[in-house]
Amino acid sequence: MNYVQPPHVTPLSNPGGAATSHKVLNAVVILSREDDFMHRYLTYDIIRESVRGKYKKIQLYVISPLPPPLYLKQIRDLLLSNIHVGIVVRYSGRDADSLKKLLQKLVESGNDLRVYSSRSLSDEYLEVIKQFGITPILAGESL
Amino acid sequence: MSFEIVITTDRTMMTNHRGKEFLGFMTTGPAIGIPEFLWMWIAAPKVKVDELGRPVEAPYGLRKIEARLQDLGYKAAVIDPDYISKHLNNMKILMIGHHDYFAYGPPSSEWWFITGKEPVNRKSFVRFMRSEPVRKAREKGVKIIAGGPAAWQWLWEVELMREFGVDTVIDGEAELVIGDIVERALNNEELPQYVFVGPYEVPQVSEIPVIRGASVNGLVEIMRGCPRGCKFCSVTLRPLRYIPLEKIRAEVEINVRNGVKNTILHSEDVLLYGADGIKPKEEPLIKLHELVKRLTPDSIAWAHTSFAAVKFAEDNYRLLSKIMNDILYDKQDYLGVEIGLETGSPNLAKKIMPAKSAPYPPEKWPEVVEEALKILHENRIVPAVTLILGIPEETPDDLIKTSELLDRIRQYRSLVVPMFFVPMGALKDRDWFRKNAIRREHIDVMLKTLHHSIYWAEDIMNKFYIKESKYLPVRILLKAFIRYVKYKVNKLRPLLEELTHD
Repeated sequence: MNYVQPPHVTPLSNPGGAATSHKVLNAVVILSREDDFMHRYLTYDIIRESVRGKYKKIQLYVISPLPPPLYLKQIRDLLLSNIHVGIVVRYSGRDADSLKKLLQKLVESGNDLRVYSSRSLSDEYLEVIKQFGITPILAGESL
Repeated sequence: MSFEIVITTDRTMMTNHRGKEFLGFMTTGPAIGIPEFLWMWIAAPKVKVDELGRPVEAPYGLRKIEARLQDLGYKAAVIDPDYISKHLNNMKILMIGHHDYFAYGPPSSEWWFITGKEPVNRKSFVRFMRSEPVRKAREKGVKIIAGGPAAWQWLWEVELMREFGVDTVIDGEAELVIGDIVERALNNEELPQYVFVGPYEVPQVSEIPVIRGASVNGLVEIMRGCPRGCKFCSVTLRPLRYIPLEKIRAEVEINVRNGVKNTILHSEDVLLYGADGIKPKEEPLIKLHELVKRLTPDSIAWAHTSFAAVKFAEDNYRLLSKIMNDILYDKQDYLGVEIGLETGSPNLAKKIMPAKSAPYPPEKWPEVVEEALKILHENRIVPAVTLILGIPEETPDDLIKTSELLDRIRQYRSLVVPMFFVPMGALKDRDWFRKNAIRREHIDVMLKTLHHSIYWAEDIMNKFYIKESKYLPVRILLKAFIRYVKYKVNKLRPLLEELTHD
């Protein structure tokens, strides 16, 4: 008889489940136009660290001109690509002012923080991001 | 008594399907050959409720959330969808669960695809969300939280999510995250829009609550997760946990105390309860069945098992014979279960479900299926067998292999249901199976499953299922439905044959 070991798909197959402390990534996603979609390279970049076990939870803050919950379709691919990590999605406004308020809050939280965008950002957004000393990750540029 | 949290769903879920779980499959299709109200009457009759509208039986997932919230000290209850208006004055949160909100899951998407008509589960759910009590709840500022195994479908229906005023969607095992979200909702704090519960946030066995009210047809969870790692399946992403016998006992007792006299053992693979990896073990399964038999007045069913586990358990311990002939012999004359065959092709099996056949090698998958079906047939275990069509990487040769396997298993009592690939599990970023991708080999497989299932459905109904006199009207309608399907297929036969031989 040929015995085959089942593959380990789950990153954690602790028979008792898991209740560990979570290292959290705060990920801000800027979708500056209604027809913007989460670029697959950004999706990969967000999930990659989680697959490696660096983060166990992602707090995803979305800036989009589409109101809630319609913006969810812009990040659907990200949510459907992920099986490895807990993701909590929040709508965080539609413009650079909203981004500023959000970043102020997130910087204080002490968690790792990244800002993503699927296209080149306008000066308005870049100005805000610069104030916080963050380098945004644009589609393809981080890889 | 008032409830600040009302947990509910639409009629296709809040029903006991006349005590016959398999009739529930009808809610995944559109009404065919008979009016919709008759279709719903057969498949989704109303359940008994108390004066507050609390159903005697409710879907298991809703019961778990109810139990968790009650454990946390909230005034929460499962309420029948027809009684929501009774609770409008006190309700702060309306929670909704479903296993197929918009009919995108299998097999609903397939019936929709084939018939071109919306399945009744989708219609019923949308009707419920547009009903006056739900609209009034929304106007009063009640927070609406949706969850359950079909939570992901909201991502494809964001317009309806807006129309229905759904505040938060929770995708995954919610026990450990629900408390925080409820607290935020009650305090009018900002809610997350979508929560995907990761594998690090699932409850440990000790954190899984015991249900407080009866579940539909006595369903009781004996395991969570699955070690097989099939790429198309979302369950396999969760850690494997065995529910201890004391908890199983407590839940069966609650069901029986509330008048539900059957038990459905729920697991992705019942025969893996207490297993050594993917090898079934005799002792835990015998103990489980002896316990549940002692507690259950009527019959026992299994939610799911696997062909490999059936073969291994019988070859090594004669376990199925022992369960059917030594333990359940005086309780029931058959046992129902669902089993995934998925494909008859060893090549495709190797790619998408390399451990489905374990401990046997994937090259032996068709033989494992055949031998297991023989064991099931001989032990009066009636499986509803599912196939997946349109899996990524599927070739015409794979379909031919499936078709050949269907010929070989024709002699074994079973229903075979083909389902179209729905992106889930590790394949959830892949494309859906689309109408223009259908090949003549798909049609050939579908026709074979139809002939197989019609043949055995009549046999099963005559010998085992719904044979009691109280089911006479349902039996008459189902037989009429089968005759109608035969008539339609015969009418379409020349066209179908042309398609399959072109």
